[in-house]
Amino acid sequence: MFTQSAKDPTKKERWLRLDNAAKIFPAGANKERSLVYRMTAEMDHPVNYHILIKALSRTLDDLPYFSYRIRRGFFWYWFEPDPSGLEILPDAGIPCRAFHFRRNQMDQVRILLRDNQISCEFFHAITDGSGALEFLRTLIEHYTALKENPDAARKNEAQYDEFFEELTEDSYNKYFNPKVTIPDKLRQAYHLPFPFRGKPRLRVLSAEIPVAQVKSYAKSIGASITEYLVAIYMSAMQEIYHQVQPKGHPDKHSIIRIQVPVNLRKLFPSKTLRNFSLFVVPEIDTSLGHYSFEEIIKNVRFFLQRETEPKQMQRTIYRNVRNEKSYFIRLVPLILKNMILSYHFRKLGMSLYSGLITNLGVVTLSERSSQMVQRLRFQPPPPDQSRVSLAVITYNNKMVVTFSNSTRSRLLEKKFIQHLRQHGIDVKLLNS
Amino acid sequence: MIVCPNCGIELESGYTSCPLCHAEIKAPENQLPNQPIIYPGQEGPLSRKEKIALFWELSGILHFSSIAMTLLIDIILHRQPGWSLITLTCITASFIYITLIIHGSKRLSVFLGGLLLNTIALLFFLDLLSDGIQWFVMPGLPLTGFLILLLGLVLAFIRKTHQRGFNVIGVAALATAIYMMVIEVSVSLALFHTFKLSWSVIVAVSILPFALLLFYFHYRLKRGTSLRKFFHL
Repeated sequence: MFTQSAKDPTKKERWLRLDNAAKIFPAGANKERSLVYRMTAEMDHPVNYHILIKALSRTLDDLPYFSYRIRRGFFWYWFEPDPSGLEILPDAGIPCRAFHFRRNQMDQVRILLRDNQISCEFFHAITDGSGALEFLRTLIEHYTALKENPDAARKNEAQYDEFFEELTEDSYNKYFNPKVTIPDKLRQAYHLPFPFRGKPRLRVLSAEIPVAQVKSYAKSIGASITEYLVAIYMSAMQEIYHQVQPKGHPDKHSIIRIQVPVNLRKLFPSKTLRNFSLFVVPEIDTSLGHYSFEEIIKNVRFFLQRETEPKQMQRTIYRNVRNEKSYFIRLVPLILKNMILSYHFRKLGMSLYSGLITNLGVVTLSERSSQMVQRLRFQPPPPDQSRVSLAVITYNNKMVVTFSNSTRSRLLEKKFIQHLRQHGIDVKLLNS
Repeated sequence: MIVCPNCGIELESGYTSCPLCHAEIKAPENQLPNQPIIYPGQEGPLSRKEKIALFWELSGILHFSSIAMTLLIDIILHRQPGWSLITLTCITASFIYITLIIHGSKRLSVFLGGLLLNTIALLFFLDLLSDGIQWFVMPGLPLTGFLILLLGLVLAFIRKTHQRGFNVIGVAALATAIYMMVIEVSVSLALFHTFKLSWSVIVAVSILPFALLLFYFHYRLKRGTSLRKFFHL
């Protein structure tokens, strides 16, 4: 939900309450578990700093929501415009570093430059993958237009003011239905048994795959690309479950459950730039025995098809949003809410899932941008309990799979790639 | 166009360091610095520094001409300097205060040291010129010393803090509360030779919640934050 001063509807006065998903992220984030994800565009030339500044300025004219910073209130956080805009930094060191509160406020987006790469990092409270992609796409379009002609005039004047309400609506609240029942509770899930690396934990590995080969194989087994990738991820994890057990005792949590984000804009009419996604959680219970790849595919397909129905999603929306509507919870000071939410995030959120795989789908750019942009990458936030996360983006007939790994082992990546190779799919590992 | 040797981004020519990663970029040879030429008579308005220097010079002339005038009048009327010595002391101290503010305020230790010495000298001569040394040592010295000490602490806080607002008023209020207690103790020691704390404690206890409220408002609300945003439910 957005709030705007009725007397003075200027940009300066606009502030926003956090949406339902955003509320938990500031409490759940820390230095290692940054909840920051990254999107990168690799150009065919060294990035021009001055053109990028101009392009960013135009992008923020179009989408000023992305310059909103987060601030601490007494009962809740809130978003408000940051007149200083976004920070452009050299892309050196660890990716997806945490944002920190300074003087009671925190940026949520940063732009990083290196050689021919433009990277944007987003704190998850401000937007989900679809919103972030919209920002990156707008930035690239402005950049390539200015690169082609530095004096190019804007084609479309910013119409953000006109659509402010629509672009910043809290769609979770809009589609909250108090009449539905909450979903069943989940048991704790299996987690990869690998120890964490020393800090900083994060290691990244990207691989490029011809999308036609993946599509063709997935089609041959009657699955979608996402279903196929989730099944490989699950299968690799199952192998590790059987091969690597913690010393002395088998893992008591037998359920391998993967989080698969779903863009709710495809299920409910919404143009919001804010978070509007939820997870579906396909699972297999290894205590029931070993699952063949076909059985895993069957399970995943069943879960994804059933759980991505709008009716099922409304149950999850109801479960998540109902608490923030309670006056008792609303009156709890933020400092206490943060403690409770942080515990909730760790113990009742992340521990229920073995891993995360997010597929942004196929990205298309204008003809001009397609000529200048060689590759897109999408990197998930540094994983915590789930140890290894995976993000997928497809552009220019190439699929780029990026693993974020917090452990000392790269066995999961190895097994994932082995599966692809066994299915006759070419895999090319990319430099970071 | 040039490319930064460190981060690899493209820059327009004329940069000596990368604006992104601050790596040094070798400038092309034979490039002259591009500074505008100023001709005589085109200097423009005075800078802030020049205005301050001019103010100090004018105030010096004004102060010392006042001293000369009062001394002259006193000598003409009484044939020897009398009351004019008090005026001389006050005006000289005033000029030293102005000089300290203008030239000594960059280094806090110099400023506070000068302030302390000047105030002590002022009080000493005023006491001496009235009826001999009576109140200068007690309570004059502790009151001056503590005043400068607390002022120094407040100024150090102001210099150290990044965002100044209600927090400065809060610190000043706390310093005032402490100084009230110093006044009461010093006066009671000077007049009754006893250590006594009564009314100043009430003042301090009254000021404390006010100061804490100011700190809370400053560090939680900050400037420009509306209560509607801060306390939204």
